[in-house]
Amino acid sequence: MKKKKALNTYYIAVPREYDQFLALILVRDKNNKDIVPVRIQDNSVQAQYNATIYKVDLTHYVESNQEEQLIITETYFNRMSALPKKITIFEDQNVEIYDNPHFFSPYPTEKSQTTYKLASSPIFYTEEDATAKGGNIEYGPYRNDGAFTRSKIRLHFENTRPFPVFKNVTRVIEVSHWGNIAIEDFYKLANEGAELTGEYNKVDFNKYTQHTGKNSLKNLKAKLPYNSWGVYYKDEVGNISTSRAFRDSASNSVDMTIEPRFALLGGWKSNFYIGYNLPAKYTLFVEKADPTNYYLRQNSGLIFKGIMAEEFTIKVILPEGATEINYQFPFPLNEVSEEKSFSYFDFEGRPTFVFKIKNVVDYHDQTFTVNYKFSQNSIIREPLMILAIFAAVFI
Amino acid sequence: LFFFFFKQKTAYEMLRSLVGSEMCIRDSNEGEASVLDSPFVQTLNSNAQKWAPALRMTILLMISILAVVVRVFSVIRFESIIHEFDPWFNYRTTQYLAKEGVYGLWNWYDSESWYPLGRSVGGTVYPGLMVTSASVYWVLHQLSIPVDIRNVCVFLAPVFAAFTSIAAYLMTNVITKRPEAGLFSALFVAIVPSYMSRSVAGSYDNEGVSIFALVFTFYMYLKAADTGSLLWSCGASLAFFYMVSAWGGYAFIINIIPIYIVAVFLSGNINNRLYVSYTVFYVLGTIYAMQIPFVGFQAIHSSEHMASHGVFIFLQVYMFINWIKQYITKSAFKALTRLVIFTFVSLLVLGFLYLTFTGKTKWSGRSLTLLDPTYAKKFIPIIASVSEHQATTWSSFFFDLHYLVMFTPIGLYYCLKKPSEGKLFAAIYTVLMVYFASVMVRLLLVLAPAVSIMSGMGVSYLIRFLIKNLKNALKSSKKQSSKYNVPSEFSVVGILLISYLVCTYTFHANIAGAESYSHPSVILATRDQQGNRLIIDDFREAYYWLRQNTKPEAKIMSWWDYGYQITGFSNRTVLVDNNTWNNSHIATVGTAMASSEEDAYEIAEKLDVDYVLVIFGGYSYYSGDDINKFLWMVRIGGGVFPHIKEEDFYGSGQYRVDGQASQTMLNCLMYKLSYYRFDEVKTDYWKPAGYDTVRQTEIGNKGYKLRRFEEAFTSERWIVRIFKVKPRENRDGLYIRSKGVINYPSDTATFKEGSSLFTNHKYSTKVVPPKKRKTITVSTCLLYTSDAADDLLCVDLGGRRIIKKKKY
Repeated sequence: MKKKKALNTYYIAVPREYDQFLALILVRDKNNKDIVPVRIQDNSVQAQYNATIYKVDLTHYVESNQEEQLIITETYFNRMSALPKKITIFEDQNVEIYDNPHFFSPYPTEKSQTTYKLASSPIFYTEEDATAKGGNIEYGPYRNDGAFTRSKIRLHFENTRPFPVFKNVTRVIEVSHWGNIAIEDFYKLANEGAELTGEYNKVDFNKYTQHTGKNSLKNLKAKLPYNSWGVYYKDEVGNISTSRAFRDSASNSVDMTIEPRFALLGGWKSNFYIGYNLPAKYTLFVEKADPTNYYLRQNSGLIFKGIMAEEFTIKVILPEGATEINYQFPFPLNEVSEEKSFSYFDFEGRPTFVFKIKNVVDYHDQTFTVNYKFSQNSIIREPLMILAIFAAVFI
Repeated sequence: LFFFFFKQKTAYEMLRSLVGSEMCIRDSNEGEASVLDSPFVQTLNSNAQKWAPALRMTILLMISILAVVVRVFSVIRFESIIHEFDPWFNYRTTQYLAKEGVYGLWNWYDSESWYPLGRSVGGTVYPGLMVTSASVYWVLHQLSIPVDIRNVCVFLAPVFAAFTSIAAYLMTNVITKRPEAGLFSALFVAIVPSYMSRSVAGSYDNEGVSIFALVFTFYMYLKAADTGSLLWSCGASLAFFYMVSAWGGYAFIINIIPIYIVAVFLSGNINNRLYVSYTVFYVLGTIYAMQIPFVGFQAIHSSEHMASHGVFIFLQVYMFINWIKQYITKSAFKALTRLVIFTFVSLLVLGFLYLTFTGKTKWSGRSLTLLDPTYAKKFIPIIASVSEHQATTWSSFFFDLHYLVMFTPIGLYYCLKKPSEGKLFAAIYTVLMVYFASVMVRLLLVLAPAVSIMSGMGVSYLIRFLIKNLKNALKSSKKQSSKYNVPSEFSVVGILLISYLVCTYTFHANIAGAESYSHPSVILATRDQQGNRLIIDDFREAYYWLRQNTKPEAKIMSWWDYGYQITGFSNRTVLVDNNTWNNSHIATVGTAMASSEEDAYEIAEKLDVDYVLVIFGGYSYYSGDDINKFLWMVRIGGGVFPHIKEEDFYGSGQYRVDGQASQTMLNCLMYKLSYYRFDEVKTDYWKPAGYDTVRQTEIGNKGYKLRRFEEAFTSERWIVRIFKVKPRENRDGLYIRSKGVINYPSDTATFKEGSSLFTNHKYSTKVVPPKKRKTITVSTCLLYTSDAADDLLCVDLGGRRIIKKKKY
């Protein structure tokens, strides 16, 4: 008999029909480190088992006959859909979801059990192997499932909350060596809950009523960095005057509550900008040994927690004359490109890095670093130029 | 008299270096032992003389800065946003121009407005304003200053106000040769409230640049007339070209200058300088004007230009006769003159009458309104409906011009006391403009520079006069002249009084600018009970909702006032907008609003309307709403579709919305949409539900349902209400006229054969209007006829055919 080898890889299977809705898988092994699995492009397995396989490289080797505990977190989006698809402003929103209650795995499973925590007691659930306790529904335990075992259950329940999704978020980070980092986010927000049908009914529905239009999105809460200042909230047609922000030292952030121009009923959209400034001293660092070597550390997540962005673009605009630019992200990026942007008195353009990330969730709320070389002397070039122009005109 | 003029001129020219604050020395050179001869005063005088030009420039610069600063209240108190209605179109056009370039604009056929007609924008705008800001934008971008196009548009008018004050300074300087009068004029025009009303930051309208162009053209022309130089004349016609490109008000220039020439001729002072300047200005100016597509050949055949043609021919003939004079005897010359003048005048009159009666030349509706103030009221409700076309009240004269109305007569007196060509011009300009400004309130704007220049001259004249008196009193008795014998106390009081009035004027202008004219009108502000400022943003809320949550090709029906804003804010197609070029199209919308729900639905359906937008102020004290404008919709609608009758909308002899209102009023679309479910809310604790806060009454029609329309959105404070046009229910209104199927409604006996739009339908199906309707059909609603359009400056639709078909 062959000697069993120690392993450090593990494979995760995801049913192919759900793979397109998968925002993120995280695996945590006993070293308590999050590992992002890599998707395997193996068409034959995909076709054979109707599954997509992800490969996990563990942080250590697991010897044979040894047990290893893994915590796998899969984050999905768009799996719940409203049923009925359209409701009036007086109706409550119900949603349905289909799922596989078995532990879906390329390996045989000895025992598995699935618990669904619903927002309310279900209107309908597939009763096979199920025990319901209020909003909690347990499936299983299933014993001795073979590899890729699956079945399909359906849950239908009331969930009156809005389903806000950012279809697109663009963040522009403009670095100025005069001491300021200007950040502007552009959000395309949609409420993907049950669509409104019938009348708007202003008499019954407004910002302050709770009993109608329950799935409407009336406000959002954002957390900006503690040191941010000069916060603004606007859209393509100008300022929006319905926002409040205060500096909260307890949570070490600026807490901002915004209301869109109008409450977003199901199926409605709205775009807006949020901009703020950060003093450079908290996010732009210089290497002691080499004063031309700068490190910009910025948050790579959204300022809104619990809302997913389908596409997130971060543009980092470095000062004109920055060279040897490197970047480090704590997670893989979907696309990186480089361009030039022009601001006041730029002639050769500012080096700009564009990072694109898909399906951004709370996990992405981490720090990334952009490292570049820049001579502090060149910041006085532009003021000197203006002086020279003035001199040329008036003297 | 001419000689006198000439003498005066040379005297001024010699003294040109001596004018200004140092004029005091002129009279005191020969004084003996008076205060004025003390070495201190002498040094002061010579220093003042040395520094006068620098001082003058500094003051002018400060006035220019003031002109800008006083206009940015709206940005500080609100934000950098485009105001009101027309500026939104200008802004949208500028964006297009900045993106697509001049040729793009020239060929722009805008399908977002005047659905389904569209509008050929390039040929129907005065592009001066847009080209100006697009050039500023482009130049700044070339200089690596990437400003936002919106900010260029917002701040253009204040910057041009600064230019206007410089132009006013120059013009007054040319007229009086006195820089202090120029500085007064510059100060007055920089902050005159009536001009500020159209040129605060964000008020991005044609007038913002064209008032500058107007004053500058006059300055150039006066300079040309003064020198007789070809160069200045060319400059004047170039300035005129800019004016033509920017605003239809160029008609004032092309009429005032010929009138001025005629006036000079009548006073017997016509000369070669005037001849050269006018000839060059006329020829070049007319050719330039024709280069603007919107003007084109109207520069030849429209009535507004006739005076300039006539004066041009007349001048040529006159100069020709003068030239002949040298070669013939006196009596022959007299006879010849008489003959020529008689023939000329009769030819001119006959020609003009011929052209007018054959319709070769026409006055535009707005011009006719100016000549006959009652004209619009009688014939063109669409012009009469615009608030800025109303006759000016005395209070708005005083509010908008303030003490300038007092200073102007002084200036006029001064002009007539020591007349010169320039002063004659200023006097003519002022008097004509006073007339026009009293006909139409918006023309106070054109009057503003005139009275500012007049007042500048008047005030400086008065002060100069009083100071001369003072000085005279200070002189030793021997040297005192008897000309200036006003008592010193009186002079001091007079000077103080004038200073006080001027200061009051500046305060008033400041307050008017800050409080009255700095409201963007798309954003409203109010204060709550605690005194906190509240922003009421209903317009943007609803417009932005349209932009985000309707299909991009949705068509919005609203009263024309909101057309530009909807295309600008919401980027959606509208039926009518503030361009008002097609009266019958506007009348169709007016008719829809004034019809019953079913009739309106048919119109809406045929015009592919997806949403109807109404402005309703009854919930939140907003008085400029559609119910208050509604009678104009009725009048304009009724002007084209006679079944809409104004008297049907009166209840108990007056326009009202309560229980005593007429049935037509209570059931028309505008009423039903505005007050839909309004009877279920209480606006005031003490009042019954459905109490309209604007009309101060309880509404008359309550508890009704809408069958054809569905509330799609209502803004926070109910100001904007948007209704969706529902699709027809299945088999709604469709009756099969086949013998086998008996579903043809029996109670449509009143419905006449052949009055439906669909009589020629090849199947024997028939769209029958619903039950219970009047026998009046709306079948003519869809036929667009441009002959009802208000303005003959209306559009050539770029080759698009307009169906002309009337069937009454």
